[in-house]
Amino acid sequence: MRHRTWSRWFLAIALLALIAIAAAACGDDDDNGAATTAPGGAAAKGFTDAGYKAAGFKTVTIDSGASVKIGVSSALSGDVKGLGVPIADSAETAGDGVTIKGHKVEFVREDDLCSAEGGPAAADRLIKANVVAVVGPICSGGTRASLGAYDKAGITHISPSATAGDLTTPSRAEGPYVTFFRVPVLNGDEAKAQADFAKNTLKAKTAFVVFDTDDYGKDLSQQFQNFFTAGGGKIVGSPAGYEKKQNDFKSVITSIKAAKPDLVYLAGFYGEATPFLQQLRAESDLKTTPFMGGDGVKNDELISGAKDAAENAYLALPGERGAGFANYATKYKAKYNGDAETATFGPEAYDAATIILRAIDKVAKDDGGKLTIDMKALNDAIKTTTLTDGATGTIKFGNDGNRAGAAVKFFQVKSGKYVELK
Amino acid sequence: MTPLFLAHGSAEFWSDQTVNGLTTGSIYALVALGYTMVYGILQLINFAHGEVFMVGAFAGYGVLVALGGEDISGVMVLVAIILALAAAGAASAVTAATIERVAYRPLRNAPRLAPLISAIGVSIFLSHLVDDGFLDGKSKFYPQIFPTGDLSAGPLSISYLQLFLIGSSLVMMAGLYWVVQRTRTGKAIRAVSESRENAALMGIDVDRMIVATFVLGAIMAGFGGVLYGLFLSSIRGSMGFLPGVKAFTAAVLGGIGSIPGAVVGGFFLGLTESVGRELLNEIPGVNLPNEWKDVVAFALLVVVLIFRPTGIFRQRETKRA
Amino acid sequence: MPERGKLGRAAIAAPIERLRARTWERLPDWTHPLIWFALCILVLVVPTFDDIWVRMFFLVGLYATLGLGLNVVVGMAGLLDLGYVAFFATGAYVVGILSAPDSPHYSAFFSYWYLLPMAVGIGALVGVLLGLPVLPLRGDYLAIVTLGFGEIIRILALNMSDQTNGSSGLFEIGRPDISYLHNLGLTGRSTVDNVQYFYVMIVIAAFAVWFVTSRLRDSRVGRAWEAIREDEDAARGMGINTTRYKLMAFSTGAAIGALGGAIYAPFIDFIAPNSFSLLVSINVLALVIIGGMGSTQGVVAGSLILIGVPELLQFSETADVLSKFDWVGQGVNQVIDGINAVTHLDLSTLPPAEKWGAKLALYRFIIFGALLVAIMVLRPSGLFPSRRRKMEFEHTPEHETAGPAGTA
Repeated sequence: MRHRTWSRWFLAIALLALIAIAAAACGDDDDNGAATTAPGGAAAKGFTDAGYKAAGFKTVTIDSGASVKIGVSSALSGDVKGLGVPIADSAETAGDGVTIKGHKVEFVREDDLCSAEGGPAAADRLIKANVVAVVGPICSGGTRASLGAYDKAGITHISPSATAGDLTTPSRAEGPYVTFFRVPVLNGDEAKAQADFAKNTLKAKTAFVVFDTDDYGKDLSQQFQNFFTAGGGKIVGSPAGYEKKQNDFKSVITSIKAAKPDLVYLAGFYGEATPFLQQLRAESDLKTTPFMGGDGVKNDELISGAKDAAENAYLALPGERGAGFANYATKYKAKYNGDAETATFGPEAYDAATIILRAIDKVAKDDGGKLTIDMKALNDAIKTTTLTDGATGTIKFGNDGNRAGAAVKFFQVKSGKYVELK
Repeated sequence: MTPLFLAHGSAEFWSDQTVNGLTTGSIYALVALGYTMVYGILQLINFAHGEVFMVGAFAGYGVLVALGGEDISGVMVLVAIILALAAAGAASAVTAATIERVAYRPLRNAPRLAPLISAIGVSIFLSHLVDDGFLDGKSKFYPQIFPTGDLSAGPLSISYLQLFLIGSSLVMMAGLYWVVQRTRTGKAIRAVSESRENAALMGIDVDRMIVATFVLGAIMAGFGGVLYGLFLSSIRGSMGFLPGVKAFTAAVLGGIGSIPGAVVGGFFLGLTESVGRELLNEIPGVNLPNEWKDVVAFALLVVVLIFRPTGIFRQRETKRA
Repeated sequence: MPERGKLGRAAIAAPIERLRARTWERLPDWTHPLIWFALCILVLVVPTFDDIWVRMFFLVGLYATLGLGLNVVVGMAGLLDLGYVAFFATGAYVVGILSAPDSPHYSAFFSYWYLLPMAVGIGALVGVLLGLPVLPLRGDYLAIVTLGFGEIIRILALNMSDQTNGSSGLFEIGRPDISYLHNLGLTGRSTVDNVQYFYVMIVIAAFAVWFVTSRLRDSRVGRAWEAIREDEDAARGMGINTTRYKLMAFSTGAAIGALGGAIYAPFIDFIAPNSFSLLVSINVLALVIIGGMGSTQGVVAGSLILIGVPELLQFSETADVLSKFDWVGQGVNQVIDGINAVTHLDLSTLPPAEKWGAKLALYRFIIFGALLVAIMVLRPSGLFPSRRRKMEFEHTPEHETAGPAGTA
């Protein structure tokens, strides 16, 4: 029996230790966040020679009659499917009627589940399928986890939607991964625009932050907090994190009610934003408190799921309409009966695929019916592309794989529709 | 990171969190009843109970949508909810009886862990059948038909919905208690859970009473599913997992096998999640944000079990040891 | 109608049992080692298969190793542990945190061969730490507490970003350096970085674990565990220090779990909290029980079925094979069309066969769940019940059912 008494004491001490660790970890979190993601972001180092040396570029040959394979890594099932399928469809739309020196173009879709585990698994399968280049992955977590795999295989990939700032500033000595490019506006830019909008248009002085604990949500919410406080705003209450598939936000909402913020800010996806909004609006004190979300939240399913609760919500969406948008919209409608207006990240995916296809066309050499593609040359061609007729406007890549310059638009839900705010 | 409720009038915050805890707790309690009754009679952790709860939530959703969804108003709201509860209870009962027949009864005399694995199999099968097979990974959302508004007295306030949830679940639990304590079936169930052999010798149809136990627990879980949907709105195939684990935790906390224990355990766990974490945050230097709430709940479970190894209501434990 | 279940069960299970009795048990005893030897040869041939198959067999080997570890806890000592993933995660994170370049605690000093024993040691320690407070608990109380620990470890890994990189995870985990063997000309590579090498590693680990656990089972310690499993009070009465032996079982299992994690981390090259969900614990427990608690063949067979089959359903080869069966689909569709024409039921037709592979991959968990139920209902004591346990089951089924309420 003495054992039992002893072990009770042991447990009590262990629990105290656990709480201490937890408190310490959270304290550290704040310091680090401030240090690494200061407003404006750390200066991106840009591609280095060592980075190019580290990439495993090869030369691939495509037999006569065989098609040129392009991978698509997106969320084809699960919660983020509503974003993922339009991305995959839009990317394939870009390949409509395109042939490369007599070879057909074939798209290979793999489901990366928008997760850090799914990214590398999809990369693995795409590399095995001998794709020449890849559109994707869809989410920041999956992208971060698969950067190395694509780099090792020498396969260039363009993400239409991964927006975490540090994807192009990894901590390794070789600098950014040379095989990675992306079309969307970065989290930092989106967060800055959101903070400005909150301050100038909504006149919000205080905000309560709710975030998905995945890469995208953590990064976006942290950057928003930094910009918002730098602009003189105040974050009230402790930012509340949640995991995907969670739907009990009552306790968080009570904290919001107590904090009385001018703005409720959510960095995450529509799957959880929908019940969150419903529970938020069920609280009589919070019926009219402005709500703002980002690109992960803006989806038709938010409106169809939350219905009245979604009314008046503000959503930020990076990107603009370019010269190629009408063309994309017609083709997307014809092939998939899709609505380009609501396909968040669809135009980006279309542009990413267009850039890839044109670059392949430029560097592929016809060798008596066979096609040889030097992957390094392909990478260079993508890096130096200037796409003037993109669906999201003109696209040029900087020396770190990020898109140079882009705008953020704002929408508000009015009578069950997204209305753009000018 | 200031403790926000010290900066703000705290009484309202605490009363709100208490109401939240009681509401979540009442749902945990409803689900926990099924775990505890089945455990009491079969010594089986019915892992598929969370999925029975899920089926109830979907049945209720179907009824509400069929009756007009968001357009239901006035007195029809009450009618619709009662119909939804009835449908959910029925659907859950049928599901549970089927599971018992297919996955548990053939294993009545098998090694102890075989039914556990079979239960886990049913749980995985059902949740993925709904998620991957029918819904394609998407959620469904309960129509928001319940009249909003608060009943308040001073700093205390409670929304009509939460009042309804807590009140109706208490009524349901009282109903169950009456069935188990006063009816013939209830007495037979208790006899079987005391000793299967002796009950059989008394002429009680053991198999039927086991099914009755599953059905009673399932009806409670089905009711809980509808209340859950009304409260939190989003439902999906995998929704039963976490409430299932929590409800089982509640049953263990209360002392598994004990019906009052399950109810107390459910409310206790609900309160811990909402109020307990905030109380810990009161300690200077401690900051446990929302994402830690499950850690707090499980840590509490460990502490309670260390000091009371057989739960809060430690009844009949000597037999089970 | 109520008899259907039993009939179906007898109809399927009996022939299997008869087949087993006619073949395996009728063979002279001396041939059994030969058959095992042949199986060992098969194990050696695996690396020549296509990568994707080797990967599958690596996972089977990994889960078999974990199964052998959990078997010590559940099968030998009778402690139901639903949070085995906690130790698997511990092993993986020890290696990951110290060897991933992105990790806050990256240290170039530690080679993998230091990290591996360190992971096993820390795993055993975590086993002791978690075990100490909870081991006085019995049966299902222990189950729910261990389940809680499994979840706590995952949530800690997710939220303690400064130690674990949170949901971003750790990647480019240090690969085992075998330049020593390479310099001797024994291996073609100087690091273990392809599936074939990892496969060899996990086979060696599995055999080592098998050797250790089977020695333990037949030792004093093993007999003490057995006594505790059968009746803890009686065991204590006989002078067995039950707490100490239970702790030993818990930490032995934990060390083996950590070993599995330490091999898994560099193989998968990327670890994140979501890789360590309850599903891992369930998988390991299920394969131990489906295989037949306490038997080594059972663990291997269980992991072949529960890990191999879901992997197989995802292979593009499987999809290719399925797509050849379009004629079946067309036939079924014609029948459905016929029914629709007659009854106005408006049933939807099957998609074209080339989509079946993708559907199968999507539905693999539904199949997995049904498989668990089916195997348990057909063979309640597992595929290969260990001989000693089998005798227990056959002779005292009444005791099993009456146990909790009637005896003790």
